[in-house]
Amino acid sequence: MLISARKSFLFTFPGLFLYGIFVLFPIFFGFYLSLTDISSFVEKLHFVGLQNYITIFGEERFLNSLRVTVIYVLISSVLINSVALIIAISIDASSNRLVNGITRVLVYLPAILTPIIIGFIWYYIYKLGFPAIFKLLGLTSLASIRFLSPSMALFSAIIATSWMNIGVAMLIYSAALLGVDANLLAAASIDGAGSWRRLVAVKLPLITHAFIINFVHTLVFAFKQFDQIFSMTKGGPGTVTETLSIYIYKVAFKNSQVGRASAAAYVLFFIVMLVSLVIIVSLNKRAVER
Amino acid sequence: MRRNKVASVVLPPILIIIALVFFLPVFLTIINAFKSMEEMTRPFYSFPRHLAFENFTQVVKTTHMVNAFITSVLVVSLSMVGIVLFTSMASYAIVRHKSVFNQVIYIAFISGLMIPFSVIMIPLMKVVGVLKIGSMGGLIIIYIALGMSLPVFLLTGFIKGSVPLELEESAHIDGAGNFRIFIFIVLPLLKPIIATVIMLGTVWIFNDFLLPSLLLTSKRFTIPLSQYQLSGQYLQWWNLMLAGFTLTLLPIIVLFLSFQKYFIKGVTEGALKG
Repeated sequence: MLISARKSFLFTFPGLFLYGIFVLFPIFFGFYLSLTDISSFVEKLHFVGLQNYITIFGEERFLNSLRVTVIYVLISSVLINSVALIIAISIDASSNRLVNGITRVLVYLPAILTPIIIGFIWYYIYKLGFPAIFKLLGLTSLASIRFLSPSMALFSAIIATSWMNIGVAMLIYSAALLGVDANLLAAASIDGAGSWRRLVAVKLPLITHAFIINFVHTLVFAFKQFDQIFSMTKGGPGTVTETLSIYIYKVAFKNSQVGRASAAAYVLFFIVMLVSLVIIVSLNKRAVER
Repeated sequence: MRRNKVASVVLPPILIIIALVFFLPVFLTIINAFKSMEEMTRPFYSFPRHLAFENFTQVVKTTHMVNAFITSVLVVSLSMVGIVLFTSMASYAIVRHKSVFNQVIYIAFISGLMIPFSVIMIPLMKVVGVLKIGSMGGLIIIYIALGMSLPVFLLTGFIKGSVPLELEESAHIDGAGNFRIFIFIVLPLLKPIIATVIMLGTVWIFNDFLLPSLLLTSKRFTIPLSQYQLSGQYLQWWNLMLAGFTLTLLPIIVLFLSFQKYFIKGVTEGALKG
């Protein structure tokens, strides 16, 4: 082999060292912390077993944040993927290169903007922008909606965060559609398939890998989401937009209940690992079927 | 290939409308940033009658935005140097030296892609406390550690696919050592994928809020922190808030528009190759 075991270790060591201290170790250390009575006031830790887990699973606020997270993650991924796919298909079908280019750039643009700022911008758009615009368009019933009220806030948060992430998914679908073998499409055409049939029967089945990538992307993104919701609603009003990430932050750093937050963090870890595992297993199954 | 005629007539205008709707929040931010205090009562979609440039000077002064910008640039560039160097070295060894150990390292790096920051946030702060590495140096080191998963994923894929082993072998026969081969032969070949790594990493670190908010004190703020701090005093004065946001977002937008081809290529290639 070109690189000896010793040299290979030297090459990987600097990265592995930092990754080990600041990522791998905290993952295990976090589990240990969740089994102790850690708080910002206690110096010495005591082992309390599963007490923190028992506490949070009996706590309405934690159960609420679990519920909010599940709703947020599911609706976001479906919304992001369907809108992104529709735009990508439209770009694919439109032959105007200039328009396609402009659409790609402007739909992707939000993905590179600062999320904490985007949260504030959407706060103003919901408070001031939409009411004014809907009034201008004569849609008085829409203009009177209070988008950040308890009944609407989670939905509004989903829209605002999806706006940032549709672009990435759209680019991936778009590239996958471009990659479909032109010969297959020509063959389908000769067999009498119209553009709609070609899309449904040839193109979409051939871009399943893009579906899988995008669903993994959007699910992971949704579980990670913090900044934007934090600056837009701070998890409120009340706790209606308090996802697990925001719950962990607030409980640990605002309420100083670090033990509960650590347990909640591990629940989040477990959920994310479980979801990833399900996706990976189903991916492998697909690979075998092919 | 035949294209649908109806589609090519109907779709462009629809696409333009979609693109404009996506751009609307940025557009509203910019026009309202220029509104003076008196004009704040006019509708949110209206253009300012007079351009209130004093909004910008006031925001820059109160938030120490210049300092924040310098801090941000320092943090981003130093972190990216570390990330690129360490991950390209590690990825090279992982691909060229096949062993169970390296396979385990690879999986450990990749699984970091899935882990939300909130999961490790609390134990990480304990580690930071024990090692006493608060402030900017600690921030950079932690960014390097947190930012390695995606680069390792992209770089290993790229080395496997596009770096010819023969080149390295002939250099090896000529007597070049592993480090020389890595620096003079492999690293130059990695340029395109390193460009992607730098683009994606820069956007992430420049925009990140939570980690610096836990590590930095008000003397050394990054741009997102300075903007968040703005909301403490000016949430009601949205023209000032939006002026700060415009100043922050414009450089990013200009940078993106000038490199958009590479950005879009980088994003799609990175994702689809996996």
